[in-house]
Amino acid sequence: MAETYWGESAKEGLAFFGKMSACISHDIKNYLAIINEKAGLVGDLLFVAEQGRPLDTEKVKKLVQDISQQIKRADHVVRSLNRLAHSVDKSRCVVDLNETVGLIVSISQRLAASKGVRLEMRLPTSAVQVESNPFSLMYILFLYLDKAMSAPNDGQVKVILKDMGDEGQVTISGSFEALVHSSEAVPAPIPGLQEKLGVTVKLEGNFGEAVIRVPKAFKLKDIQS
Amino acid sequence: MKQRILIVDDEQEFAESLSERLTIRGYEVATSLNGQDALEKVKGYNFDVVILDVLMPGMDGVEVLREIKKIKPLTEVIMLTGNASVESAVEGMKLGAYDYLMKPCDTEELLSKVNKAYERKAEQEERIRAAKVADIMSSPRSVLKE
Repeated sequence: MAETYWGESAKEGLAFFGKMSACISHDIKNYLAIINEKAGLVGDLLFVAEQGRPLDTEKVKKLVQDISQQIKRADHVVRSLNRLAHSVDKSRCVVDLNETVGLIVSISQRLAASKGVRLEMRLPTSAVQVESNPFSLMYILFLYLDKAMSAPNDGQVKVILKDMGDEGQVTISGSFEALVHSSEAVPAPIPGLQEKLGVTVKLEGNFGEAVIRVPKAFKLKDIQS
Repeated sequence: MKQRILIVDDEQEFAESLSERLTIRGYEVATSLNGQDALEKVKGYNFDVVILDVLMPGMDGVEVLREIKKIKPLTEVIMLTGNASVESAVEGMKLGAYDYLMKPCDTEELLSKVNKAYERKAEQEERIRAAKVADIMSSPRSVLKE
């Protein structure tokens, strides 16, 4: 990945990929555990029915529906993993920001829950498409989301995507004061990546919001995924 | 007497399904969806074994384990982890957990560990009782001091 640009900072990208994959695999494990117990419960109910206890068919139907629901949830998570994995396929392509923001927020839900943070997302009804490097863009968005989740406002982080005409604008609420007062708060590749992608990030509202602007058309500078 | 089990997991559907399966098998089971509630239940009732998820919002499993061991040192704890990495579970073992299992877990394996954990708790309680009796026998007046 990213040898031409990420270079020595490639480990940051790998760490991001690892963190995302860990979240996803943990979710999948949980769904599998629920499916395992519910399927086991169906087996138990059938077993005790064979011993003479009346079978509650409504309960069995409900359990089968629940299993089907858990499979759908697990499938959704696996699709997220697949999209994340394919984000490194192309160094430059049309990126649907609605999908990208949705994916990052969806994967981050468990991280947010473990920190006691509520994640809220607002997307426009029509797609906001930009030309960018999908993996690097995801990395930038996640970095600011992660910082916000570490210092949320009233236990909540809002992620709002807007179509601003010639750019997509992602506003993430949270306390970003640490980014200003600590030189180590922004990982090394971030400023360079932002420049390469033409992405600008402004901390507004007394550092309570990170406003990330992604140009719809930008000449990407020598960036490969 | 029925073995008293507490299942602690933020995934309600997991906790309830496992609870029902253990109940069918003759265990007395309660559930908690977070660490705080689990600790309240442990304070108020003498559970034999706690089945405890490692990764939970708010108070995580390792913190809950630490508190359980302060409140009821003899209550045995089996850690459940959804991570392929067992670091947290191993940390739990160092803090006194009886054992750990990875999700999704095999039911027979879980039951085997629950039963062995129960036996260990019963043995320890028996040893404490025997030591108290021996103490009384060696010094009958010690009872009057208590």
